[in-house]
Amino acid sequence: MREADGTFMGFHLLRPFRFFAQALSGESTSKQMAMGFALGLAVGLIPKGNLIAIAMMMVLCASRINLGIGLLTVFAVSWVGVFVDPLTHRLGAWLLANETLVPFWTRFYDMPIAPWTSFNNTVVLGSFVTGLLLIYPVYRFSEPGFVKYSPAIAERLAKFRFVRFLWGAEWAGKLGSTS
Amino acid sequence: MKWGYLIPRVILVAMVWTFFVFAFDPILRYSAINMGESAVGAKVGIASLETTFFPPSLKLGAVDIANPQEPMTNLATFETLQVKVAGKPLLRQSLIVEQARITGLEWGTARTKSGRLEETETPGDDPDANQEPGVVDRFGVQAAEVGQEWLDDLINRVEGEFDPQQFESVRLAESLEADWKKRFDDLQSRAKNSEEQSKKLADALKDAKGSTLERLRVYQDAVRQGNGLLADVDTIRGDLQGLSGTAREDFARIQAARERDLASLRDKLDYRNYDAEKISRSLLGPKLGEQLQSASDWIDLLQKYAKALQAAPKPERMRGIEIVFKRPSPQPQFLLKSLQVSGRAQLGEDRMPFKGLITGITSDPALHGKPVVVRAAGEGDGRLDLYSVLDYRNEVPVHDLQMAYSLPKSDRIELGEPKKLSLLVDVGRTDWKVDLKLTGDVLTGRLSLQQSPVSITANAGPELKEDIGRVISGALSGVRHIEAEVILTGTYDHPEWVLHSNLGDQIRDGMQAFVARELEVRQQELAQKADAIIRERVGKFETNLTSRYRETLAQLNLNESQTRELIQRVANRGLGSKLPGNLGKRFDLKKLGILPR
Repeated sequence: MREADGTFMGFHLLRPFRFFAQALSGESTSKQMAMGFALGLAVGLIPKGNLIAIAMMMVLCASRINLGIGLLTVFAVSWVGVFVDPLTHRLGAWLLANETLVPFWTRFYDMPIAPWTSFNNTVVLGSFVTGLLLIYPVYRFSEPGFVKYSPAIAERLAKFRFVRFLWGAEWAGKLGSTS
Repeated sequence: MKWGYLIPRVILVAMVWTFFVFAFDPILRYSAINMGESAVGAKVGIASLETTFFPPSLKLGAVDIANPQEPMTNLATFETLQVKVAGKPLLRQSLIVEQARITGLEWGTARTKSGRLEETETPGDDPDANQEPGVVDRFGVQAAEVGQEWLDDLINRVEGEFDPQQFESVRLAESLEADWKKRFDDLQSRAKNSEEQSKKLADALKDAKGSTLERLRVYQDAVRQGNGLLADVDTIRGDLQGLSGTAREDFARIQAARERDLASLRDKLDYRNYDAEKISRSLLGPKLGEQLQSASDWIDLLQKYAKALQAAPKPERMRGIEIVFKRPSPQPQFLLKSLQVSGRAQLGEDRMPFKGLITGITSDPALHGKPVVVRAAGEGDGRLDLYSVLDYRNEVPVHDLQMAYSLPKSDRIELGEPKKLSLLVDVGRTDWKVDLKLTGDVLTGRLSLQQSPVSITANAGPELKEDIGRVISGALSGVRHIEAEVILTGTYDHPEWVLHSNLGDQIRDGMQAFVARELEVRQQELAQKADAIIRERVGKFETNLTSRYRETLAQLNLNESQTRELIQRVANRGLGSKLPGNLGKRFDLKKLGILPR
C-alpha cells in the first residue's frame, strides 16, 4: 500500500525508530559523543532510585548529546560504579560531616523534595560530586578519542542487525519514494 | 530543531507517561497482592487498585484476605479502601494519611476457593501448630479439665460404684483373718505334735521288755514324759484361751473401722463439701476462655501490626550510610491520622453492623505524641461497644482494651462426655464486659458476664443409669441466672485468674437440697450395701475363728484324755505283780510320786 507521496505506509511507521537509531548510532559530532560519554559516566556512578539519579538522567536525555553513547555509558558505569563506592562513600561522608556544610545540609534536608534526592546518603553524594567533577576532564580527554575512533564505532554499530534493519528501512524508503 | 534530537526524547517521555497511565496501577496491585500474601501466608485478592497523583490518593476495591489456618475462610474482607495522602509531607518523605476509609469490613466469612498458597506448608507440617496453646487458651483447657473432674466425681458419687477394698474394715478383717489362720495353724501343729508324742509313749510302754528294773525305768520315763505332755496340753489350752482376749480386741478394731467406713460413706454422699468455684469454673470456664482468647487475639493482632509498623525494614538502601539531619518540625515516616471502618462484626450467630474509628497509627509514636485509639460501636440484635488504647510512646507499651457487648441468644454449651453424662446449658441474653490492661508483660483485667434466663439439663449417656440424668437435671433446675467475674493478674504468658460466680453456689445448694432429698433412699441403700459387704467379710472371719478354736480345743482335749489314759494304764499295770512279796505295794507309783494321785 502506498501513501500519497508514493512511499510505503509501513516505512512511515518505522520512521520514528529510524530517527531514534540515527540519534543513537550516528550523525553526531565527536563533541556530542564526548559529552554523552561524560554525562553517562556521571549518571552511571550515582546509585539509582533517588531524585538525583532521575534528574541527571533527565539532563542526559534533554541535552543535545549522543544519547546512545550516553545510555551505553550509564549502563556500563552502573556496574563498574559499585567498585568505586569505598572512595565515593568517604568523600560523601566527609562532605556530610563537614561542620561548615552541616547547616546547609540541615536546611536543605528540610526543604520539600530534597529528602527524595537521597543526598544525605554518603555514596549518593560522593558519587554525585565525583561525577560532576569528572564531567569536564572526561569530556576533554575523550573527545580526541571519539574524533579518532567514531568512524570505527559507527562501523561497529553497523554490524548490529537492528541498526542494519533500520538503515535498510531508510534505504528501502528512499527506494519506495523514488519509484 | 532536528527530528533526531526530538523523537528519542519524545519517545522516552511517552514511555514514562504510558508506564504511569497504563502500567503503574496494575504493577502496584500486583506488588500489593504479593506483599500481602507473603505477610499473611495465604491468598490475598484485590479486585481493583487506582491511584491519583494530584492529590495523592489510593483506592482499593473488593479485597479478600484468606485465613492461613482455615483456607476456606477469610481472615478479613472489605469492599473498598480509600486513602487520601497529604501532599506536602510526602515531599519530605513522610507518608501522612489524612483520612482512610474501609467499608464493608467483615471477618470470618466463607470462601468459595481455598486460600492456601500453593507453596504453603500444610498446618500439620508447621512446627508451631503443635505448640502449647495460647495464654488464654490454657484458661479454657484448664476449665474444661476441671469440669470433667467435677462431673466424673459427681457420676462416681451418684452411681455408687464402691469397691469393697475402699473400706478400712474390710481390709482390716482380711488382714486379721490371715493372722488368725497363722495362729491357729501353729496351735494345731503343737496339738498334733503332742498327740504324736502320746502315741510314741504308748508304743514304748507296749514294747517294754527286759528285766523288771529295766521295765521299771521305762515306765518311769513314760510317766515323766506323760506328765510333760499334759503340761504342754495345758500350755496350749492356756494359749488358746488367751487368744479370746486378742480376738475381742480385734473385733473391736474391726467394729471401729466399720463405723469409720460408714461415716466416710455418709461424707461422700454429702454435697455440701463441693467446691463452688470449681463448679463455676467448669461450667463457665470454656466460655470465659473463649472470650479471653478472643480479646487476647485482638491484642496479639494489634501488637503484631504495631510492632511490624515500627520495626518496618527500611527500603533496600542502595549503598553507603544515610545521615539523618534534625528537622525543625519533624514528622513520622508514616502516620494514619484517621481510619474510618464500617462493616459487619460476627457476634454469636449474628452479623452485626458496626462503625469504628482508629486514630494515630504511626511508625513513630513518641514523635507523634498520641497513642493509637480504637473505637467501635454496633447495634443489631445485640450491641457492641469497644474502646482500646495502644500506647507505644514509652519504652513499656501499654495496651488497654475495654469491650462490652450483649447477645440476645447464646450458643448452647455442652459439657462432659456424651457417653456418660453431659450437661446442656441454654442461655438467653448474655452481657459481657471485658476490661484488660497489659502494661509491658504485666496483665490486669476483669471479665464479667451476666446471663439470664439459664436452663441446665443433664443427659445420661448409655454408660450410665437412666435416673442419674434425671437426678442431676433436677438438682440444676433451680439455676436461672448466672453472674460471673474473672479477675486476671500475673503476666501475659502466665496469667492467673480467680473466678467469682453465683453459679457454683447455686449448683452446690441445688445439689445439696435436691440430691439430699432424692438420694436419701439411695444413701441408705449404699450404706446398707456397704454394711452388708463389711458384715459378710467380718462374719466370715468370725465363723472361721470360732470353728478353728473349737477344732483346736477338741484336739487338745483328745490329746489330754489320751495321755491321761496312758498314765492310768501304767498306774493300773503297776509293778507290784511283777515284784516278789509286798514289794509291789511298796513300789506304788502314785505313792512314789511318779504318778499323779
